[in-house]
Amino acid sequence: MLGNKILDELSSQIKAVSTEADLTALWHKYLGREGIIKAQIKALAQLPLEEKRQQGPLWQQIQEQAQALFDTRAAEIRATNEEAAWQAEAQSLGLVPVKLGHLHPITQTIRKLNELFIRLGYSIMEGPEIETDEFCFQRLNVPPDHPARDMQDTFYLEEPNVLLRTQTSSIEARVLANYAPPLKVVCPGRVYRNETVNKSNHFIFHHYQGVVVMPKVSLVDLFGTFTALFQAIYGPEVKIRFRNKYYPEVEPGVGPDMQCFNCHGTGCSVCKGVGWIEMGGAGLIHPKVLTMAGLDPREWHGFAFGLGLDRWAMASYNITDIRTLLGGNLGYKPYHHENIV
Amino acid sequence: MKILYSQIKQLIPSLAATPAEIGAALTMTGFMQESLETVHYNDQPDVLLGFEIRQNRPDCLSVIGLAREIAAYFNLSLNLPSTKEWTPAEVPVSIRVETPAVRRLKAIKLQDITVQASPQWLVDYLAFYEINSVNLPVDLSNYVMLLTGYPSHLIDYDRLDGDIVWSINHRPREVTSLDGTPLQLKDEELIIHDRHNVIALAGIVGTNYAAIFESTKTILAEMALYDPALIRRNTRALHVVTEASNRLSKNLSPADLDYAFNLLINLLVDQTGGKIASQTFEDYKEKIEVKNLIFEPQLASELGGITIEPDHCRQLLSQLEFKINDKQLPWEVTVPSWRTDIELPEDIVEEVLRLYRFDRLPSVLPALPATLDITPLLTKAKERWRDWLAFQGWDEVLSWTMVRPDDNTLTNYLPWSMATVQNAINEDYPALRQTIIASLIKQAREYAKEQVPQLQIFELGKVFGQEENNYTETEHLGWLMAGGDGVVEVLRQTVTALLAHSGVEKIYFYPAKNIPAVANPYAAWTIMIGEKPIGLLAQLKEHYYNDETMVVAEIDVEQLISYLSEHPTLAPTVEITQKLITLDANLEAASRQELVMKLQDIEEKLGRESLWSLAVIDEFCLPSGRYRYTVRAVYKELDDQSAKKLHLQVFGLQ
Repeated sequence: MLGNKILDELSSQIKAVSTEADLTALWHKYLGREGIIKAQIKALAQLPLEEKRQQGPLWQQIQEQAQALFDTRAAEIRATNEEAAWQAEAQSLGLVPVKLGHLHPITQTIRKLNELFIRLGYSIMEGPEIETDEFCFQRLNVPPDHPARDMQDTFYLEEPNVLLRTQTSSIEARVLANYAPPLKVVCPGRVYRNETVNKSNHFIFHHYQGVVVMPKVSLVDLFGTFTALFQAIYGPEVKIRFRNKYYPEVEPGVGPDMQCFNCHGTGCSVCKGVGWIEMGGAGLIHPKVLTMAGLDPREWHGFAFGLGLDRWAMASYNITDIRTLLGGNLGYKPYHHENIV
Repeated sequence: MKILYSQIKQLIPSLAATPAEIGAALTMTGFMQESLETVHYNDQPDVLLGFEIRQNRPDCLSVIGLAREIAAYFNLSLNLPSTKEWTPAEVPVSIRVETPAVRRLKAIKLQDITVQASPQWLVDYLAFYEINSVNLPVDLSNYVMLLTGYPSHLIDYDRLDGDIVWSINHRPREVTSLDGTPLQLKDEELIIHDRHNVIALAGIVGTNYAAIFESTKTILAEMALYDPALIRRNTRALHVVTEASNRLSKNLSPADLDYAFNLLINLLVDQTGGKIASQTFEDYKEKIEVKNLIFEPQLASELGGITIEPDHCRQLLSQLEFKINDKQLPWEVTVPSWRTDIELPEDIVEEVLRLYRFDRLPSVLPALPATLDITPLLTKAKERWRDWLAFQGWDEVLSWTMVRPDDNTLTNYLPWSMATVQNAINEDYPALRQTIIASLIKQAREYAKEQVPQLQIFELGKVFGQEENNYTETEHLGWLMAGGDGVVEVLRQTVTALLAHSGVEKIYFYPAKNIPAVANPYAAWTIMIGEKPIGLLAQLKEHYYNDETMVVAEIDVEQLISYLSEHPTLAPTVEITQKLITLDANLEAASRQELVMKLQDIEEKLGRESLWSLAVIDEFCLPSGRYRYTVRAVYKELDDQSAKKLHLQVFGLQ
């Protein structure tokens, strides 16, 4: 039959078409007003009625089948074109290493402690690094010419009154002077001691001070807080002991020690053979310190603790030379992603 | 302070504890063990223990003081070396004390002394304390100091000319110490002298005048306590630290001087054949009274956080030789004469608790009541900035805050002068940094040596200076970045984004007027927020190791926080109800600074309600030297007509 022949021709021609424009041209050739199929349908009008009734539905069916062929091919061409467009637009992954930023080990150590104390409801306070003798010493129960001043070699901008703070206890003195209790405060900060710089000592280092003033606190509260602090850094298995030690700003004074991480208490060069490492100082705030802050020591009690951060940071990040922390050779290894062989 | 185990056993005969147990006991009760050394002494094996002595316990800078602590801990009795009474001679000694800095002085003359070498036991004993043997009388004086904690001084009496005087020096003079060191006296030194010569810097060191030699036959033995603060000041001023000054610059008890003095005279008489040849001179104007404190035993439980029964409390204090009148509450507690550190009931609490031992107290994390959060805004903001910069690929560094003066001179851009320390051990670094840039450049040079790529560092820290003779410090944030073309723009965008994220709406970069010497003078901008200069952005003249351009920026974050507290912060969240309308306009200006001012004016006229954004999208240099800028304004909440009308009106295009 002629119709099937036309469809066969169309079918083979349509496969060869690859663009929407060619497909439209082919459509006009077959199904356009003057197209092959349309011409056959128009020619039916010249046929006798009986034949017209017989041929009409057949050509209608052929026209529909032809249209279906066009629709199918149009969809195929469109899909192919989109694919090409996407391919053309697609961008590739680069090979440049991703630059990741890092926070300093001291910042990260401070944060670890801050996280604990913020959970416990403490505020974080900072203070001036240029301090007065009053806030660095006198308000902490260290009057001029007190022998305890031998414990700290001080940098003076103007001796004897203007100096670089030797301890973050100066922030404690300022907090006590400026804020009404009850108080729970931690004070991280940079401190200065006039010492020669070498692999294990620096004249600039970092302290972390904690202060609590409440109507009632005790050594047991202090020990519990300090233990939580150590556990935050070293994990729950850390072993700590508390012994009596002298600090003029506290009474009683406490020396917290951590069991040596190197020898676990048996004695080694790290702990100088004693099995324990001194880890800071603490105690109940001295009544004179409270009095100088305008607080009645019969109404208010407090505890304070302080510790150095540099050695902790060094141990945590395998830094062997304290000068690295402030020196310009602290490196952060770049991130290696899968594109780098 | 060191102590021989054999000597502890002599003083506490019933002691059964081993040296290690003694070390552990004293460590826990306030005297950290520093050393434990096996030694040979008096032909016997022995152990030398070393302890750190608390600054407030000068009584323990002595063998007897430490033995007393050991006896108290183990609840045993202490047997002090006995002394014999002597009969003073009739003749007085000519001593004058012309200063109140002498708290107590005892002196006596001995004659017919035989000065010879010390026996080996004494030489060996002093060697444990790194004291060289001189001769028997001098060595005995040192021995008594080590035993009791009280230094003494022996003077060749026959060499003296006139009265022996204790007074304050008020004129420059040079003396030579016993070991031959010349010392320049200036003013305020406590000295012992005769008519013409300085015999000693009291409490510190003797001079070579009237020292004890083999020819010495008559000596004046003196033992004194002085104003510890003055001895401390003299020691520091003269840079002379001795065993004597270490003890006398602390608050030793005047009451216990008698025993030490008697022991010294007994030993000198016994060992050197000397005879008492004068009355005992004594100057003790302000006698220290026995100290009684009112003590509520319950306080030990309150401050300790555990229950310590009064009986237990009494027992512990008795071991420490406190006398207690406990007929009624509160108790009256008499402090042992040697305990000059005990002043308050809290001091007594420490005594109870340290002997009870801190390691017997539990560690319980307290459930303390909530308190007001007083954390300053700046502290919180700094943490956000650090995170934000790390996410953006910046590495944090921390630097020395003390720099060479040149570092400040080359980098400072602020109107203040330099602050320096007076006594830096490292004389090259006496200045406090005036900029973070100074530190970052030093860091970059170190990184350049190591050829570290992609340098992108920041620091948050203090900078320091002097304004109107006042020292001042403020917190700054600084950046340093190395890279190729566009690195300046990258840093500008970083600074802008950080400021905008902090809530600043009006951020400008104007050509800088105060350009630090390290900066390229054609690429330095003052960072402005509103009309406030807040920092500097500058390309450096110096290049990074692979010839990359280095760019720095620095802002005063304290000023930033203060600005934010005074100005409405950027509130970018809006509800969009109509399509945005974009319209362009041209503006002419002589410079970017003028353009910014024009844009500020336009922004003002447009108002916050209608303006979505305002941006410069093109810059064209005109033949006249002026610039034409194409400005793109995007309007919100306006229909097409209203937007166009407003645009034409504000840009003067009607």
